[in-house]
Amino acid sequence: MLRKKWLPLLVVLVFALSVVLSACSKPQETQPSEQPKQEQTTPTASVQDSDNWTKAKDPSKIPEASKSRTDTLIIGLHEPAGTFNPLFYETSYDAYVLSAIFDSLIEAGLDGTYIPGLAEKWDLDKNNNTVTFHLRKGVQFSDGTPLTAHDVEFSYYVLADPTYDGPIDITTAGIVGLKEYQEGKADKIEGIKVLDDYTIQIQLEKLMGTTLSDLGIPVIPKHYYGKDFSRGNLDGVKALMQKPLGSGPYVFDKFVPGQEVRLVANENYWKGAPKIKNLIFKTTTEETAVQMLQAGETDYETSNITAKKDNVELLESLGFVDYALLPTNGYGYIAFNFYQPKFQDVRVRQALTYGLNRKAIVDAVYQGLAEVRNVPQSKVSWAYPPEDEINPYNYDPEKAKQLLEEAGWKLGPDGYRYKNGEKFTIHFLQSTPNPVNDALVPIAVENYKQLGIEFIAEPMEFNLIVDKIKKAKEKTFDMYFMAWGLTPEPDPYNIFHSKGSQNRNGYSNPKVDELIVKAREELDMNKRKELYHELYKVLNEDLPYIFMYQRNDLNAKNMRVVGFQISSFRDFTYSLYQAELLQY
Amino acid sequence: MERLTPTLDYRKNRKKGGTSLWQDAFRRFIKNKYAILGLVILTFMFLFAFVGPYFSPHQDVPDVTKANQPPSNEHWLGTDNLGRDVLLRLMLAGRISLTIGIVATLILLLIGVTLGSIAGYYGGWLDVIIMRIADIIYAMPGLPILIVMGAIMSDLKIPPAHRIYYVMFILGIISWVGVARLVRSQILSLKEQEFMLATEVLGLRDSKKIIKHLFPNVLPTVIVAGTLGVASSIISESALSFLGLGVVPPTPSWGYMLSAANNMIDFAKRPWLWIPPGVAIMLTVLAINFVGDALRDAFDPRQKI
Amino acid sequence: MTQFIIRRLLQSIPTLIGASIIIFLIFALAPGDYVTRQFENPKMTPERMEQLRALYGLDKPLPERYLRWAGNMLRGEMGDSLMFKKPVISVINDFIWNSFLLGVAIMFFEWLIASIIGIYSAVRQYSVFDTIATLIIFMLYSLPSFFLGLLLLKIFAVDLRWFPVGGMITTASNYTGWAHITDVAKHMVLPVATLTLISVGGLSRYFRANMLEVIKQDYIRTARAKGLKERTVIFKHALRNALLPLITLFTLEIPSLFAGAMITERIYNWPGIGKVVLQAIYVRDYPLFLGYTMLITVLTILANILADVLYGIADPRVRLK
Repeated sequence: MLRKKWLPLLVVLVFALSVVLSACSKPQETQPSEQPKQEQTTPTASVQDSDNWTKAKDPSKIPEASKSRTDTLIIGLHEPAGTFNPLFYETSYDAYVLSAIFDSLIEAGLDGTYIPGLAEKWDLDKNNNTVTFHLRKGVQFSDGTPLTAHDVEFSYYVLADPTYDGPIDITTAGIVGLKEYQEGKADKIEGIKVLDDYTIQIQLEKLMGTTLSDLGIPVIPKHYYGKDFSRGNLDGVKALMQKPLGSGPYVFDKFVPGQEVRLVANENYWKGAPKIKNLIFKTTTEETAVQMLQAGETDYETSNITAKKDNVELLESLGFVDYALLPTNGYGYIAFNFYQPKFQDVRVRQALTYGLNRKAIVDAVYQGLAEVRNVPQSKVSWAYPPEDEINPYNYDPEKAKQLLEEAGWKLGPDGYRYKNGEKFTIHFLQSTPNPVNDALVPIAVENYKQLGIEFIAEPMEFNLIVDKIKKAKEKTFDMYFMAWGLTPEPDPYNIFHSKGSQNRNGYSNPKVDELIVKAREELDMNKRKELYHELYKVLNEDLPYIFMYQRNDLNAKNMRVVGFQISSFRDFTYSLYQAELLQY
Repeated sequence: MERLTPTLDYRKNRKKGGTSLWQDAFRRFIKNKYAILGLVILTFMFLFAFVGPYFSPHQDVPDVTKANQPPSNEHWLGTDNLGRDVLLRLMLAGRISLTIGIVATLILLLIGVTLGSIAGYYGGWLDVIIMRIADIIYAMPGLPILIVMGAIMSDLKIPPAHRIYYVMFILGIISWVGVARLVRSQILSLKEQEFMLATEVLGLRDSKKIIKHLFPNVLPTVIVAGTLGVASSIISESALSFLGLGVVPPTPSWGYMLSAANNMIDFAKRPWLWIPPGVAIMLTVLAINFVGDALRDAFDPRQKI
Repeated sequence: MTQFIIRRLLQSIPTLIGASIIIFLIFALAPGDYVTRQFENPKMTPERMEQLRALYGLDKPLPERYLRWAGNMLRGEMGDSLMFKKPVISVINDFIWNSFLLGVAIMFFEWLIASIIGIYSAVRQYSVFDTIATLIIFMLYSLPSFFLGLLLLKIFAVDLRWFPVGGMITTASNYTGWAHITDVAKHMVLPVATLTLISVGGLSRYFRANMLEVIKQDYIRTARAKGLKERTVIFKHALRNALLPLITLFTLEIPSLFAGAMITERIYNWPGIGKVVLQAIYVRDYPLFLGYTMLITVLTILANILADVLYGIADPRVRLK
C-alpha cells in the first residue's frame, strides 16, 4: 500500500528534476580561456575582415567538425525556393545563392555608392538621355564562353518580355521603345543598342538619378538560356531554373531541395579564382541557427539570427565566433490611414508620436540593438540627414496631451478624448505572427490610454492586412505596423509621392512631391544629398508615418574563415571569392 | 478477486426501488483515489485561473524596465520580456486555455456523438450522407479554414475580444469526425447484440433505444474521446499560437506563453518563462485524464460497487 | 464484398467533387493572393501587379478558375507551383517521401509501444506498472510538439551532442548505400522520438480501454473458468476482439503518413512536405496547396473504404450492406 503511494510521486519528481536540470545546464561550459601554446602560430590570411567585425579570441574552441573541412565553407541560410535565376528569384535567400553564381553590371560598394561590376565604366549623357555601359573585357562564364554585350541585351529582353513574371520591374527605367515591344507593336526595343561586343547603349525617356540602379541588372548568358527564346516564350529560360550557369565566383553543382545547395569554385572567375574550393549553402532555421554554428555544422550565419543582446551574448560565450552588427537596410513604421479625417491634422500625428514610448517597444524586442528612427532612411546611407536637424520625438506624454488639446480633442468624463462627439479610438491592424507587434500592442494600449485614446488591436494575417490596406479608402482601419526594405538608391517616390504606386494611405504633401521629383532627376551627387536632407526634414516634421526603428543584421562566422569585407550595402556574397579558410 | 455472487450484498445496500446506473457510477467514482485527486487538481486550477487574479497586487501591463527578471519576492514567478508578472499572466492565461479546452470539446462531442449515433443506427442514406460529409471535413486542412474564418470575422467586425470564441468553435467543428466514426462503428457492432433484439421485441421507440440502451454502452468510448478532446484542444490552441493564429497578444493563454518562450536561449536562461505554463498544461491534462479514467471505470456495470 | 467496394467507390465520386469545390472556394476566398506578397517590394507598381495577376490567371472569375483547375486535375496536371516555378507534382515528389519516411517510423514505434503499454496496463490494472506508465504517458502527452521537439533538440543534440542538430543528412556528405541509411537514421531519431512520445499516450489509452472492456466480458470469464492459460485467454480471445475498433484507427492513420507534420518538420528542419505546404498557405501558392490537399483527400477516402472493408472482415457480427 505504502509503496504505491510514493512511487508515482517519485516518478514525477525525477521527471521534474531532469527537466529543471536541462534548463540549468549552460549551453557552453565556460572554461578559463587558456593561453595558446607558444608553438602554435596564428595563421594569417591575405585578405582581412573589415573593421566592423568583433573578433573572437579563442581558437581552441573551434569545433573539430568544422576544422576537418579544410576546403569547404558552409553558409547557413533560410531555405531557398530553388528558383535559381537572378531575373526570376522568389526569395531573398535565393538571391544570396544567386550572387555567388552570377554577376551584375554594377555593384554596391561598402558605402552604398555604385561601383563597377561587369560594367567597367559608364557614360551618362544628360543631353541625349542615354547611358552607355562599357563592359569589362576577358570575363568568361563558367563554361569558358566570353561575356559580351549580347548577353546584356538578352537579359534586358527577358525582363522586358510580356510574359515575364519575376520581381524586377524594368518598365520603371523608362527605356525608349520598351512599351511598344511589350505590346507587340515593335519587334525590337528601340532604346537598346549594342554598339560593339563590349559596349551597350540605352536610350531613356529621361535620364534620372535613379537610372543607374534601374538598369544595373544581373547578366545571364544568351548562348545557354536563349536557345529557344522569342518574345512571349520564356519556357526555355524557365526550364533551366535549377541548372544555373553564370559568370560568378562559384559554379552550381547540386541542389538537394529543402537542405543544401552545393557549389564549386569557378576557376575562370574574372576577379580571380576563389581560394575556397567548395561552397555549400545549408538550410537552417531560426531556432537552430546558432546551435549549428556552435556544433560546427555551419561556418557562417546571417539573416537567421535576430540581432538582440541574448544572441550576441550567446555568440560571445562560444569563444570562436566573430560577429558583426550591420544596420539593416530598412526601417519599421506605423502607418496612418490618411482617409480618416482625424489624422489630417499634423498635431494629432505628432501627439501620437510623442505619446508612444517607441524606445521601450524597440528595447523589448531587440534588447538595445535597434535604434529609434525619425526619418525613413538608414543611418548609414549617404542621404541620411544630420541628427541635429531632425526632431527625435522623445517620449513625452505631457507634450502629446498638449498637442491633442490644441487640435480640439478634449478629455471627456470617462477619461477618453472627444471631438465633435466622436471618441478618439484607434483601430489597429496587428499582423501576426510578429514579435514587434507582440511588444507594440500592449505598450501602445497603455501609452495611449494615458493620453485618453482607446487603442484597439485587431490581429490578422499579413496577407489580409495588405488586402485591407489596398482598400484604405473604405476606412476600416486607422493604423498598422509594417516595415520597408531599402536599397542603396534612396528615391522613395513609390511610397511618399502622392502618385506613388505603394502610397495607399492617401498621404499627399505638395512640398514632398516636389522634393522627391527634383531629387530623383538630379544627377549631381552633392546636390542630391542636399535635396534628400531637406526631404527628410519635411517628412520628419509632417510624419506620414510614426517612424519606429532601424534594427541590425547579425552576421556571425567561425573564426577559421576570414576575408569578409561587409557593410549594410555590400553583403557577404561579394567577399566569397576572396575568403580563406585558416587551418588552425 | 471477483466474487461469484455479488447480488446478496447488492440487495443489502440498495435503496428501495432499485439504484440507477448513475447512482452506482457516482458511488464507484467517489471511491477512486485518482478521481478525487483529479477533481482536486481541477478545482484548484479553476480557482487559480478565475479567482486568483483578484488576489494579485499586479496589473497585466508592460513595464520594459523590469523585463526578464527571475523570480523574486515581488514577482513570485519573475517577469516576462515586457516586464509583466508571470504569475498573474499564468492565471489569466488559465482562464482562456481552460475555457477553450472545455467548450471546444463539448461542441465536438455534441456534434460527433449525435451524428455518429444517427449514422450507425439508421444506416442507409443517412449513414452515407453523414459519412461523406465527415470524409470531406476530415480531409480538409484546418489551417486555411482558420485563416479564412478569421478574414470573414474581420469583415463582420467581430471585436478581437471575441476571437477566442471563434477559435473554440472552429476547433470543435474540425474535430468531431473522429468521435463520430468511433461511435458509429461501436453502434454497428452493438446493434446486432442480443439486448438490442430484446428492445426491438419490447417495441421501444427509436429514441429510447438509442438514448437509454445504446448510449450507455457507447459512453466509455465517448468519455475517453472527451477527455482526450479537452487535452488536444488545449494543445491545438498552443500549436495555433505557435503559428500565430491562436489567441493573440496581449491576451495570454498557456499555449501562447509556452510558444513565446520556445527558443534555445529562454530554455537555458529563463526557465521561469516556460516551466510554469508547461506544468500548468501538464497538470490540467493529467487531472482530466484521471477523472475521465475514473468515469469510465465508474460506468462499467461489472465493476464492484 | 466486391459489390460493397464498388458501391463505395462510386459514392466517393461526389465526395471528391464536393471536397474539391469546398477546398478551392476556401482557398480562393482567403484574402490576398500570390501577388499580394509582392507588396513588400517597394518598387512594385499596381499596373505590374495587375499584369502578374493576369499572367497567373488570378483575375478571372471564380467558377471559371475552378473549372479550369478541375479540368486540369482530371487530366493529371496539377499546374505549376507559383513559389517554386515548376510543376506541382515535381515539388510534391521532392518532399513527400521525406515525410513518408518519418511517418512510417513514427507509426511503427507508436503502435508497437502503445500496444505493449496499453495491453499490459489493462491486464495489470492499477498495478505499479500501470500507474507509472500512465503518469509518464500523460506527462508527455500533454506537451505540444513544438515544445517537446525543441527541448529534445536542446538536450540531446546541443548539450549532449548525441545527435545532429536537425536536418536530414550531414552537410556536404556524399554517402551512398549503408552509410547513407545510417546517416539519415541518425537524423531521424529525434523527430521520430518527439512525435512518437506525444502520440503514444492517446493510442495506448484506446488499447487499454478496449482491452479492459473485453476482459470484463463473460466469455473471458468462461475461458478462464475452462482453465485455459492466462496467456491464451489474453492473446487468443481477448485481444482479437479488443483490436476491432483499433482497425479503424490504424487505417485512418495511413493518409497522415503522407501529410507531413508541419510543426515538427519546421523545428527539426526536416525537408518534408508539411513545411513546404505551410509556406504555400502563407504565400497563397494555390496550385501547390490544392494539389497537395486533393492528394490527401483521395488517400483519406480510399483509407476509409479500406477501414470499413477490414472491419467487416474482422467482425463477423457486422454485415456490410
